[in-house]
Amino acid sequence: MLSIIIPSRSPDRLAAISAHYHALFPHHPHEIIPILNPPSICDAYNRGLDLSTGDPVLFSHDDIEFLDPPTFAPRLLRHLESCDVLGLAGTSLLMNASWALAGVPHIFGQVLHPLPPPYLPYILSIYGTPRRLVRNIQAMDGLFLAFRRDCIAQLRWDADTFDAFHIYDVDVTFRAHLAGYKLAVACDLPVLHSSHGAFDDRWKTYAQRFFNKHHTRLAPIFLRKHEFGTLQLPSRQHALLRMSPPHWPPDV
Amino acid sequence: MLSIVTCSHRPDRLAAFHHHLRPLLADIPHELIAITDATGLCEGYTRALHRSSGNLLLFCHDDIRFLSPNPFPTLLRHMQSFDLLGVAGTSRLLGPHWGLARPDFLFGQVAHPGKISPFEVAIYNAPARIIPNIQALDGLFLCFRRACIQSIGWDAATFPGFHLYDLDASYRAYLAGCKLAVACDIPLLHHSAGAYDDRWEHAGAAFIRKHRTSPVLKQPYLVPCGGVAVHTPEEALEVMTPPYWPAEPIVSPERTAVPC
Repeated sequence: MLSIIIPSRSPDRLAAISAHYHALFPHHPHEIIPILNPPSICDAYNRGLDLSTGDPVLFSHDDIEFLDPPTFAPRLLRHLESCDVLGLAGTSLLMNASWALAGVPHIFGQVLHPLPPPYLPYILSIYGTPRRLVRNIQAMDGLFLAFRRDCIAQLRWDADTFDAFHIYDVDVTFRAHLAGYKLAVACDLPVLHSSHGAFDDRWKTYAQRFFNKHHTRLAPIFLRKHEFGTLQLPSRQHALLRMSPPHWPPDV
Repeated sequence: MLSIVTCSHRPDRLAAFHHHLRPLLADIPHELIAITDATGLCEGYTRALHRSSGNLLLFCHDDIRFLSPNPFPTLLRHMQSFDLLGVAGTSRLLGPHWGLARPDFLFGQVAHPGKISPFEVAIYNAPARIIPNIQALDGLFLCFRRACIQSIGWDAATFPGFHLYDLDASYRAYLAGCKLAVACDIPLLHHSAGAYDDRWEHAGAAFIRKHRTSPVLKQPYLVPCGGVAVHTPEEALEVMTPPYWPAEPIVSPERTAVPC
């Protein structure tokens, strides 16, 4: 049995993402634990964790969609056999609350986002996809995170420090790394994320909290202008094709 | 023996390049062959091929610099498995530039002098130290086994100038069944970028006629997987050595021998 915890402010969106997860796990026992209108992500995830019984435990935004449903469950479960925490985007070198700051070649994963007109309808951000599963990760984005139950039960979510909707993800994954758990980015779970991060004043507030909490354990900051690969794409089919680079070995 | 061939019309640039090479080649049996009056790269390289005696031949530009301290043991190790090695290329050639392929079929990484910082690293794709199954390579750095380049030759009749000689020779090597690879772990600084002028278009048209590739004759828009602005060659080297590669194998003296 696996547990999927989804906070949301929209019943409609919650219904849609729940139906999506049911379709992703047609042959695997699973429970979906929706948390409607939580005061913070950490609060929602801790409540969901306490209510859940499954292992692994998946924490998901309500505005994502996995683009290759038949491959999702087998790949996810196979990857989780060799790591404790799995995400879709992250870094092997964390320097502050922004996981992407270290840039190429220290950031990994790929995420598709929608684009408004007059552009093509999708933009693919390729942070780094050298292989299907990239290990030795220090911190990850929270759009989707899968934990072994013993790992997240020990760590839990820091609702005291991160009492809103920012940097909860980098905090918990970095603490997992510091505790010796094995983190990995799965590049072969192609995902569409309908929202982008908001790096506003509230983000800066929580970034400072993160720095105060972790500054002695972070890598020294270097500032390099960098860009990762981006592609505008006309359709999901094109995206799916581009999200399976030819240098990967065939799927097992 | 490794023969390193350079065509150069600039004595100062050639001297600087050889000065750069010598300490890197201290433990490698080698010869440096300079062609200073080439009318085209195919013509110059063909003359050098006849003059050379190495069983490996490295044809390279005079404005490259190796960024790692020991590039040649790495090169020799790779050449034990391949017939032709470059540092940038494609696994699916579509037309008269390797960069016309889909971005995920481009491989390699090269540093250049930058516009916003002293250097910029273009990372086309560097998922592993060595990328096999390559179809065509850029000519800034091409290392052939002698048997391969002797059978392929340089086509000075079709490509009398300074363009497309590289794509033609490497693509013909691929078509002939030679094993081509891109070495991502021989990081280079290249002081010039390609010049896509009328002569390039003329050579491109000749390439299309010869190889019946896609007739698209346009300046490639290279979309690298990543670009990083750095301040020093040392920083470029760090960026070009990604953390997900395995450690480089320790090369014993016997294994640095030039393969036959």
